[in-house]
Amino acid sequence: MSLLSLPQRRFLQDLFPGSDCLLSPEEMVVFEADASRLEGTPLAVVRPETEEQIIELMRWAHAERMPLYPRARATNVVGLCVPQKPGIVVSTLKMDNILEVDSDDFITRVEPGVITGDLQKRVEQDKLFYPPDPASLGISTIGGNVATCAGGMRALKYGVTREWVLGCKAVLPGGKTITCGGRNHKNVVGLDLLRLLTGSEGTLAFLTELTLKLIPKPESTASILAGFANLEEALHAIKIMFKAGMLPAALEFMGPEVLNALSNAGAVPWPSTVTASLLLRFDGSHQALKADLEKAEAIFKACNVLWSTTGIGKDEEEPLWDVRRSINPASFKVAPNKYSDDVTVPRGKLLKAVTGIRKISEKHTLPILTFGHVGDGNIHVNIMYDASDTQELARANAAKKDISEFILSLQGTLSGEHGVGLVKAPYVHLQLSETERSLMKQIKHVFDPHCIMNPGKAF
Amino acid sequence: MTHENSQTTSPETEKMTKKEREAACILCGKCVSVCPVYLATKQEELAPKAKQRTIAALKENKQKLHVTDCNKLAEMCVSCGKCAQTCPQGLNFPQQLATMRAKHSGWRQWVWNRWVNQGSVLWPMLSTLSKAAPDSKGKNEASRFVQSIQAMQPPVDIPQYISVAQYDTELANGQSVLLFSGCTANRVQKSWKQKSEAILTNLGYQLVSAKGLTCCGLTLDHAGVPDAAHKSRMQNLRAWRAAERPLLVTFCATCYLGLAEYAHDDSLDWAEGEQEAWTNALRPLSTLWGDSLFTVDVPANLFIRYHQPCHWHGKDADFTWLKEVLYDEVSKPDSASCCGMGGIAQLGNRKLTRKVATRCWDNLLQQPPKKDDSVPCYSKPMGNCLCDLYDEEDEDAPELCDAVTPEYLIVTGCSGCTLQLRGTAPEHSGKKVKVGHWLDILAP
Ligand SMILES: Cc1cc2nc3c(=O)[nH]c(=O)nc-3n(C[C@H](O)[C@H](O)[C@H](O)COP(=O)(O)OP(=O)(O)OC[C@H]3O[C@@H](n4cnc5c(N)ncnc54)[C@H](O)[C@@H]3O)c2cc1C
Ligand code: SF4
Ligand code: SF4
Repeated sequence: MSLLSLPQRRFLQDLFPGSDCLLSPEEMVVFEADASRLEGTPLAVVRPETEEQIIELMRWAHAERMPLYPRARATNVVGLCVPQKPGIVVSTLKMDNILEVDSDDFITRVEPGVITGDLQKRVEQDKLFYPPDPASLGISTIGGNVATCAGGMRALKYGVTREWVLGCKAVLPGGKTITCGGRNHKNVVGLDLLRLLTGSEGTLAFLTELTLKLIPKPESTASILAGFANLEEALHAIKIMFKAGMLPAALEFMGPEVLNALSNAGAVPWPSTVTASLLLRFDGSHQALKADLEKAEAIFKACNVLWSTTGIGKDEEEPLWDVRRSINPASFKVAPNKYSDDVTVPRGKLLKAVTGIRKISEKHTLPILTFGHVGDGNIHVNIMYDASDTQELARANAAKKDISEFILSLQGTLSGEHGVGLVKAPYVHLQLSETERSLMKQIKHVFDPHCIMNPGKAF
Repeated sequence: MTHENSQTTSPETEKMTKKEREAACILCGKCVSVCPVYLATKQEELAPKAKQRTIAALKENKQKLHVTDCNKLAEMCVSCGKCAQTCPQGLNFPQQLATMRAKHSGWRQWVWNRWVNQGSVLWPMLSTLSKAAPDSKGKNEASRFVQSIQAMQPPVDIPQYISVAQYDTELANGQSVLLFSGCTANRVQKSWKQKSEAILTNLGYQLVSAKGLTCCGLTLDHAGVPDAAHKSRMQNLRAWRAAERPLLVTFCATCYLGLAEYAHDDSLDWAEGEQEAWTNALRPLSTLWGDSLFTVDVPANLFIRYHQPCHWHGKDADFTWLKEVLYDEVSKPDSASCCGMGGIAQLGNRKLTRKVATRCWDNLLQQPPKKDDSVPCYSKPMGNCLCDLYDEEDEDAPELCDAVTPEYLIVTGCSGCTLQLRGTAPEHSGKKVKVGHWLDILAP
């Protein structure tokens, strides 16, 4: 069934011996798709273990005009790993060594296939901290996180993945290698290619090594979960908190529809008068945390909080965060299918955005759940519908489009975390002008003249 | 499944119902991080996610894929159940695999041949299977193999580091107990059974005769011989009833899981409310100690490392108890890794179970992190932060002399894990690493 010629197959089998080169459709089934559940056709799957193999592969693919699809754990939800145009899937999962943790330079050097959560555990042994925390940290890789510039709850205080990448090694189509940045925490020589590669969704070069910034690990953490009569009051409380000079590490909000879904799915600890909820986490020293919690509680009290609870240290905090974690299963009790979107608006426009989305929900008579990171304006929008009802499906699609346009009218962005891939590619022109997109295409052409790297994605 | 008589099986090819679609794999990838087969091989095509996608692809379009090749991939599973515990869609691959196997006509003969010829760590369960053997010679062969595995076992040479100083008899309050020892302890490791009986008696329980009990049925179920599994379950249920539904105590994680699953098996002839009573009666032995007191004597250079059986599904009563008794003398790897025992996988794919075991050993033989990491915590603790105490004690705490070579002892709480780890134990400082059930290090 393979469309590869015999010499092509032979080349791949020689370069990737044994089970590191897959050619049978049975073995390749899983490589057709990623968490977006879109599908394509892999011609072969290869698993490099060394940079040399990648150099050789990139040289060959460039000459053969063969599409290559870098693939890590395939947890991206926008089709970034899908071989839409038949080509070769390159799995990074055997390149998973932590090469170095240096507590004097405050850096770590890793291969791209290292699981983010594993790296965090490793550096914590040396009392160091790698803050980016996508919800998928236990199931996604550093390479994937850098290529998508993954964000997480701690973005409010610590920023997204981009802020933590100091350097990388990469192989270009044709087989040349480049080194961008390094182990310096400051570096302004030349154009910032590192930033260009970060978030490039595997469309420019193959990352073979990453150098990441580390900081001292905070002593402990503390959390507070608070309920308010409405979203306005909750967001007002946050405003006051920032004015009082407080910066939580994470700050999540849950809107009325979400609280409803949670209470329908099981008992919730807050009274029924609560329709908006905030969940905050602070980190720091034991004394500071105690003081932080006291101050936060005082601010909330002044802002008419109806209910709140706190926890210091992991064991006490977990039950609070379990509430946040139960949103996903609870959402499926609302309707069997969902579109989830991760739009972002300027932080000051959050209330406007959520209120507007509620209007769109009413217009299309579909439940839409909104929750997310108040701290950075990133809103998770879950449009709930039943796919077996064609009318409902059409309404969901219409709602999706309305939301995109509305978010852009607020100077927001179509994606704060998940990226463009195949899923959002049809909407990119709504946000980026012709000139901007053309510039991006020219840059891509400089790196990848034959367009072999993850073609058809991103822009 | 690789079959000698290679008739191809095809999992149902009907169109998916709505319910099935909703319960389908969403490719979230959560199962990949827990599957020991994936973790040992880094091959995504062997992850549960890949298996689910293959099943779905076969249902949709069986022309596209070669069924025998798909089965070969499906066989790469050690039945640890971790994917089922993690999957947000509730997909249970080992269960699906068992169903596929059971449907295959040549399967029973295949299992039987393999079990007898290759499945040495599964031999304790063999005599139960023999009742469902494909022909009459089964029974005789079974007893022969059970005898030979008894002879094969190494003598237990693990010192008893824990002794019971005082039994707390309050919890027992004279209740009666049915001890479920399981196939391995009944046939091979009789000392575990004897010790457990002694412990229960000393704790003040009334032991009921366990004569009527048989294999819990879990391995048989995963092996795709559901009728044999069902028979075993019925027999155990009857024995429990005959003993007037006493507490049902086990010291093996796999037996515990096997028994716990009875309550979800509606094909058993449960009476009203009986399922709940069964669940409530079932206890791990290590939860019955109450406030008993122990004395502990562990040599300074010994690392006792705990292997967490997958079948506890994270809720491990044994380690909680061991930690209470041994405190810092016992530790476990950061993340639990499967030993590769794998039940039925022992028959089809020994190489795979070895590979999984190797990764498990790498984790077990890591030096546990030092208790103190030399940076004092300067914060004034609010609760009972122990950091301050460490600092003061550190001054005259005896340093572990670098010249002493550390020794490892692996303890666990599952019969299957013990046999698998013993069978795969590597050498450390010139000696084979010792492996035991926690009962082995205890003097009742
Ligand atoms: C349950 C769940 C929760 C999630 N939560 C979050 C969240 O909170 N925040 C968030 O930002 N995302 C989240 N995601 C999305 C996803 O986890 C991230 O996009 C993640 O960064 C993808 O990592 P991965 O290792 O799976 O990469 P993959 O999905 O395999 O690949 C992602 C992209 O990286 C490219 N790539 C990978 N390795 C290389 C390399 N070595 N060189 C060049 N390109 C490479 C691929 O080509 C692809 O374009 C979530 C996903 C799931 C399923
Ligand atoms: S049961 Fe265990 S070995 Fe089998 S697929 Fe699931 S996680 Fe992997
Ligand atoms: S956890 Fe379940 S839904 Fe997610 S990829 Fe694995 S099998 Fe599929």
